Amino acid sequence: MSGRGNAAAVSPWRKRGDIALRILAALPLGYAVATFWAMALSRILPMNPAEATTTGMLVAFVICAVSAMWAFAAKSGWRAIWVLAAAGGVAAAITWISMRMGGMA
Amino acid sequence: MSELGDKGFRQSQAFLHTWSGLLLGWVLFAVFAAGTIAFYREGLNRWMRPELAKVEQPEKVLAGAQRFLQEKAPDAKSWSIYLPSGSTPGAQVSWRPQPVEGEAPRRGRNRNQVMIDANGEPAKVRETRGGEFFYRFHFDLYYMPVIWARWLVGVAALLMLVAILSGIVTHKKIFRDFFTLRRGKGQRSWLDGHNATAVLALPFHLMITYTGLVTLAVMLLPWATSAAFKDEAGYFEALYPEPAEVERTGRAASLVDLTTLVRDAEQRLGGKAGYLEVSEPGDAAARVGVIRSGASMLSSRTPRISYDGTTGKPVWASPEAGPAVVTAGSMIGLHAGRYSSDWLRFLYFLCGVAGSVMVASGMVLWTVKRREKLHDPARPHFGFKLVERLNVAAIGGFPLGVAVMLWANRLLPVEMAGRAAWEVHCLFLAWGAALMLGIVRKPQPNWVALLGLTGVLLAALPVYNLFATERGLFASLWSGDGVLAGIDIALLVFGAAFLALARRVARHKPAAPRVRRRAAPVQPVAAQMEPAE
Repeated sequence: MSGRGNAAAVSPWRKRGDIALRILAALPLGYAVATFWAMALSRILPMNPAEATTTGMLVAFVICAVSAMWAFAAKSGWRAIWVLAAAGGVAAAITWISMRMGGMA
Repeated sequence: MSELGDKGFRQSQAFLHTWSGLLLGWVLFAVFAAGTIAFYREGLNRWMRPELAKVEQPEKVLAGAQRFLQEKAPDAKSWSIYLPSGSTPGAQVSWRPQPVEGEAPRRGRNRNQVMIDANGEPAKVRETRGGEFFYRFHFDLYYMPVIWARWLVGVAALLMLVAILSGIVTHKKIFRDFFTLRRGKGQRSWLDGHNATAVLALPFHLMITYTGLVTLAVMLLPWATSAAFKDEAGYFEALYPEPAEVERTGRAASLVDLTTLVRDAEQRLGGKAGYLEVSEPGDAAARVGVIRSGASMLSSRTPRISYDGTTGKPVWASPEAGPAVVTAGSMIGLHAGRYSSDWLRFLYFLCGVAGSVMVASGMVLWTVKRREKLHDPARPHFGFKLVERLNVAAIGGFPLGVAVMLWANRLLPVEMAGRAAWEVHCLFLAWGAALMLGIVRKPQPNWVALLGLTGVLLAALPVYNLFATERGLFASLWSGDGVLAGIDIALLVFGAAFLALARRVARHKPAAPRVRRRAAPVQPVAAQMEPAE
């Protein structure tokens, strides 16, 4: 992926597209990653539901901020998108499986 | 740009720092400044009601509150009393009448409110929101539905967190910068000022931003509660268990003496009580709930105890909360700083000032850095003009609005209808005027006018107090009222600081643009990508 960036002249539109992808990765996606991890933690942490949910929320803002930082540090916009989508996907899967298996408060 | 990925971590974070800081920086400045002022909301509650004396005997006030409610609303649905303490001008009491069959309960502000003064009598006092305005504005803003406001503030806080974290990464020499202040060097001075205020109070900035997000967490992360609970209500029930509501029996019974009850409750709760609620007063089913004061403990999750209102026997107490919930409560407590002693609170305030200056200097730095690189400094492009002028309107306008509001608190006629609301309108009228000025005139004279006017207005307030109220600076010092004296002194200091700033800006001659006008086209995009270091 980095090959594109090394090209001598990168067209301004490609640059703008890359920035747009990173913004998408940082904001809607980074937020989704944080939310899904908050949900997953509220299911899997070995504490009562109110405690686990609260812990999930306390951690979520760190996840959101670090996701946004990483979205701009990644090699390319596309890479930022797919890595964050995968990170959120793992949490979503954990949540889904746990909810299929167990009940709810 | 893929260049972002190739330039290395630090550069990519410099880019992120610049733009996440700019995007909602104007909202952030107002939120930060109002929050800083709100650390002294109890003090301002008194300062803005100069006709009220400080409470010396809280029990006398509480007895007066009970007497008043007994006469005014003997068979109300409920009474509530914000208990008086040495930092209040009295006790704020309110009541809710019995609901009328077939009529929806009234929404919005409760109008059945009275302030009981230090002598235990209903106070004759100017209508004002006092310091509470700054506290509410800090997250509810104004003139808009609170839910939008809180989302806007929440997103701004998240951007702030990103800006702080990426700002730390951007710094190569974080501790050397801490001791560096190059004066009179244009861009370098702005950068040094930005760094100094940012690094000096860095732990505070991180703490206040993160804990601020925690206060809004349930709203900002609506799905976070949905995996373990059917709905948000289920989460709140688990979080804040409440005693069952009581039914009115229709048998009259007199209410216990609240003063005795509060004394007992304070013993059982382990600290000062802050709030008291009576349901179905005057009925055999009456209940009294007492909540411990947030000023008496770190966690904002203050315990509650409930009494039978006729016998005075405790019937219910809130269960011990778990560690995660106490952690969240303590974060919220750290944010509001209600637990803090006088000196710690002053430190909170100073850090808040540093944070406001950090935001403001960052916004100005954005323009200072770009001014030298403009193709034609006489005709900057639209984005530059927008930021430059919004900076004047937001950073110059908000302090002016605050000064105007404090004057409105002193000068609006006491019997005026809607007086409390008009005090607030005055703030926004002044702020709106600053925005208009920002649109029609060039920035530099506006900075001078706004900063200068703010300085004069702020510094003149204590002078007015000296002659027109009984609580001038010397009277406050004489009676040992540190908070009122402190507010007057702070107004003088800030007035002088704004005047000094205005003078500096007035004398400032923008450095002659470096030889840049030669045809050589600058690479505009690349120039903006330069790291903030």
